[in-house]
Amino acid sequence: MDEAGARALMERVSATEPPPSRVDIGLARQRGRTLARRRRWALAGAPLLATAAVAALVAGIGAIAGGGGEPQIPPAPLTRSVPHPFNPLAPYAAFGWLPKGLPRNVNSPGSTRAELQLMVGSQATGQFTLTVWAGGTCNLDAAQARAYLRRHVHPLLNCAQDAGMSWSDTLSRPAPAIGGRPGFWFGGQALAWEYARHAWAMLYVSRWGTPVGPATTLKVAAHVRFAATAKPVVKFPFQLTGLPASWRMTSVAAWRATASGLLATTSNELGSTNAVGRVDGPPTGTIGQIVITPGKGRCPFFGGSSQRVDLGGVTAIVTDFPGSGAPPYQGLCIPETDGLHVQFLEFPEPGHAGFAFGGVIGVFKHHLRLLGPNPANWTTRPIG
Amino acid sequence: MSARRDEDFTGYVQARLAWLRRVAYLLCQDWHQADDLVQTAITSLYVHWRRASAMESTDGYARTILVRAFLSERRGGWARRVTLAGQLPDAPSVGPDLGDALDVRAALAGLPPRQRATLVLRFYCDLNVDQAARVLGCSAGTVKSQTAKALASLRRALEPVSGGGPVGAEQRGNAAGARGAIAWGAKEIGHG
Repeated sequence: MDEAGARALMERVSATEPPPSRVDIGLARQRGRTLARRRRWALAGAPLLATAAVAALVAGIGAIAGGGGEPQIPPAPLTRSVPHPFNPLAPYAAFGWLPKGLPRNVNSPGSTRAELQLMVGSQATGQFTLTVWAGGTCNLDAAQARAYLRRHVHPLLNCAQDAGMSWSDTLSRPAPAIGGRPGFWFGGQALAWEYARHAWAMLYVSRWGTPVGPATTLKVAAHVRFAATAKPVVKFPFQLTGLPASWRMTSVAAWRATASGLLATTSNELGSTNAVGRVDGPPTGTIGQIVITPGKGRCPFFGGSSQRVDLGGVTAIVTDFPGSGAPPYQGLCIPETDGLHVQFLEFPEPGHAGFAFGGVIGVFKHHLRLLGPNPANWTTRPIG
Repeated sequence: MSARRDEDFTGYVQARLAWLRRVAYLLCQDWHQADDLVQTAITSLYVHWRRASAMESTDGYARTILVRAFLSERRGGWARRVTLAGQLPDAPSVGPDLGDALDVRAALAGLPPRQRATLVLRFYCDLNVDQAARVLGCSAGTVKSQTAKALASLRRALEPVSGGGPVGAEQRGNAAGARGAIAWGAKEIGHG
């Protein structure tokens, strides 16, 4: 049997008339929500391990993609024209022109010191996801990429987040210039361009049914605004006070645009969420996975490791996590207080014994100021 | 998750359910198991929906989840899978089309799960070697070797027997192959 025969065989088998479906989408949503909640907690300590695992995986992918005699690409020197690192509270880029009829519901799945992600639209109307990397985070410049393509070698563009986590893909062919800057297609109709020397942006487009044409993708890319703002604009319903002066917000996930600005209110089920720590510390922060959102939420209770603690009339669930290979850490969750659902973790500082603030109860009692559910009272300075 | 995201997720799954079920069926060779697999996969897809919906190809993300769920399940269910392949019902009274379909299905079911998944990705989902390797989490070389082995197994299972006479299952070591040898022929898939 050859490949054509195998295709015919597949078509034949798949043509079998299916019985009525037993798949229950509502049940999937219900179980998925439960799983997401559990993962948010159970994986809370995983980023430390996952960072190493992903780094190893990426290294492996790089080794595979870079095999077959492809030349080693030296790291690009650090640029001076684009900030490195980004300020996660001040989105460096913004969408400009977008196709007519596209919902303007801009949100960000994540914003870190190395990378900003913006998403707009929906799968039905077309969804554009923009990733902008800080200067010097990627391994190539456009001249190197073009040189490889001229030699019919598809170069691997690799951009590194903090702590060794990377994104990489293979550039397939040159694209028309974007705002006068060199562009390349990769992964089908995704676009990468060097928006400043040694600084890259990527635009992904997805849509059900009719695909978005490359001309539209190029136009959206050409109208992306860089250096959109230098001052913090993302607003938070809390403020952490009394932290060491060197501590910063290391990642913000996720914020969304509203009439009153950019609000960091939505939670990210998978993980990084808002994190605070030393700028040279792990991206998970020392106080990490901070999810403080208006309204009431549910708190997981783990038998044997969770306990109910009264904090001045507020009942909190405090959980001791063993760390699974990493140092033990703590989590605190309050279904609702001051109109907000509160949840965060505290990790031991790298290289230090114990918790910097005596554990999550210490953070809550002495360092966390809640600002209520009204965005008018929120702050762009989450570290006071 | 917000109501909007629930809506997006539901819309996507409703639109792609038939396709997901067919891919799952090709992997499992059984509609009930296929529905179980799709249920598992879309639950996982919901958990990862933010990322999946941001991908260039949500279908690709869903397919990866589906295939990996299948392989993960089969790692723990090898004995049951082998039994399934060996218990295809005899169907002396069915018409030639259904009989042929059973033979082909049985031949596919006789493949190890990873080889079957490789064939489904390459020849039903039309992925190239590199894309299939990414889904399967292996090297391109492994995909090539798995494809070659799978095609060779199918060839053995479905090729016409010299002289046209039936061959017993015990002789071929594969009941599905024996059935295929009787009912399947070059006319069905252009195999000469």
